[in-house]
Amino acid sequence: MSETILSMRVVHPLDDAAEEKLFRPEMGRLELPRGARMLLLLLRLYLAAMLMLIGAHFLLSF
Amino acid sequence: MSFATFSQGTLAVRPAWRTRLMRYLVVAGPGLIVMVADNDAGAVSTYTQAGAQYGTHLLWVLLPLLPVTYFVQEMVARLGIATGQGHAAMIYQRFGTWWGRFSLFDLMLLNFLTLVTEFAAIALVAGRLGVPPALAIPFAALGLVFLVGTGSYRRWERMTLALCGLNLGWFALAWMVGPNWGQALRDAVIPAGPTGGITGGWVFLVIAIVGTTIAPWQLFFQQSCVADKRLRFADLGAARLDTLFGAVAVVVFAAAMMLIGAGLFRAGIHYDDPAQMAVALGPVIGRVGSMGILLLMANAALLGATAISLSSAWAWGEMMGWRNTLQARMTEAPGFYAIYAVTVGAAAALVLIPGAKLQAIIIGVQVISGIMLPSAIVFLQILLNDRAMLGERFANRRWNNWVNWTVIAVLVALSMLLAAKVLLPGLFTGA
Repeated sequence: MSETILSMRVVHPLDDAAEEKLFRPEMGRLELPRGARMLLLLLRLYLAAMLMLIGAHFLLSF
Repeated sequence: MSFATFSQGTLAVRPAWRTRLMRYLVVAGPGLIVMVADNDAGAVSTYTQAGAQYGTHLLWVLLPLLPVTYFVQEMVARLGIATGQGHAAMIYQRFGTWWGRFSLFDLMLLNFLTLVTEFAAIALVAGRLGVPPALAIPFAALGLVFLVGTGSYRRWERMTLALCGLNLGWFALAWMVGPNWGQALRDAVIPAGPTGGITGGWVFLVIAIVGTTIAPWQLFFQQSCVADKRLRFADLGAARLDTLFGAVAVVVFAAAMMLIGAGLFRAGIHYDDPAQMAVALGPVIGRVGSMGILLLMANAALLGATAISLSSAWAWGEMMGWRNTLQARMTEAPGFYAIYAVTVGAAAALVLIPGAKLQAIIIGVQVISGIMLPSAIVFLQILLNDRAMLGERFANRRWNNWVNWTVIAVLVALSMLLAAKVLLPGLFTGA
């Protein structure tokens, strides 16, 4: 059984006690599902393609 | 008045409206600042140009941008509150060194180039006001460093919000131009192409409006700002409201700028840059109005410059593990403030170099922004689907994901079109 107590006094976040967040540094790297890994691969291909486009643009402009 | 109810031993107290308002007021800031700062010098140029070329016909483009900006920025606010970390820190820690460094390099490069355009705008305005740019630019750079270097987040936020408030002047100027309100309202809600048919130039302007409204630095800025302000889990509702008000602000200010540009469209006046536009509008809005446009342009450039430089300094500090908070004095966080000052100083110096290729830099900003935005949003989407860390409260819901994937798909397509248009101008035909 939980009890909820909401204070009527508003405290600025910078004056409030720090709360424990959901991320901790020891969590390390994200374990990516296959879909996310594929997405990152696609992202690399997209970035490589855009880099080649820029390279071609500069080569053609000289 | 507050309400208290008892149910099976649970006490639930609903705060009175004054308490809710106070809670909103102490939480508000990051969302409003990031959105209003997004209407920077480049945005002023794009929106007024859209009005000057097509009157009020492109107002409808702004309406769908309201939910798009809200959904994207709400995600970073939520992630910042849940993790207490900035966006760069999350990419570095959760995706590894390669993606972390890549994101930081992209962000720093793009931010620096954008910063140069902000100072170029300040130089233009100073020139029109009769102030030598060699005096105005260093003065502006020093002012920007002073703005962040007070050692108090709250002081910075108040000063920046005051600068945001000056944007209300765009409404007064739009009113002075005397738009056809009925036509403007119709064009704002009913999508329509230009009267002369759709051309390459029209498509480019539509893409530029979208690209101007959502930029990669905004993701990094708002998440770092939320983390620096130490927003708590209970602040999520108020932070969402802050982001929503910011999204409304960015769109209505953009509409006001477009209405001002439309004044030139009706008068059949052409111009080369927004500073020249302010002077050209003189016969319509008077000398005070022209001066107002110039000052608001300078304000837009300063707001953009402080937000962009801060997003760079926060991101760099997160990656290096430095102390990176506006709560620290300059001597307590030297690396953080040094990155801010160096980026501001270098961009200011570049603008002062005679013959610097500013037009090439402006085009470079559009290209890199177009390339980087999809990758920044993809990371955000993956991070917000990490249910193991975020739990049901903070992770994306299914409908969230559908909306966001749609936004990402549209942005990727538009960004690629924009990049292609800039890199290969012959791809599109028509004026």
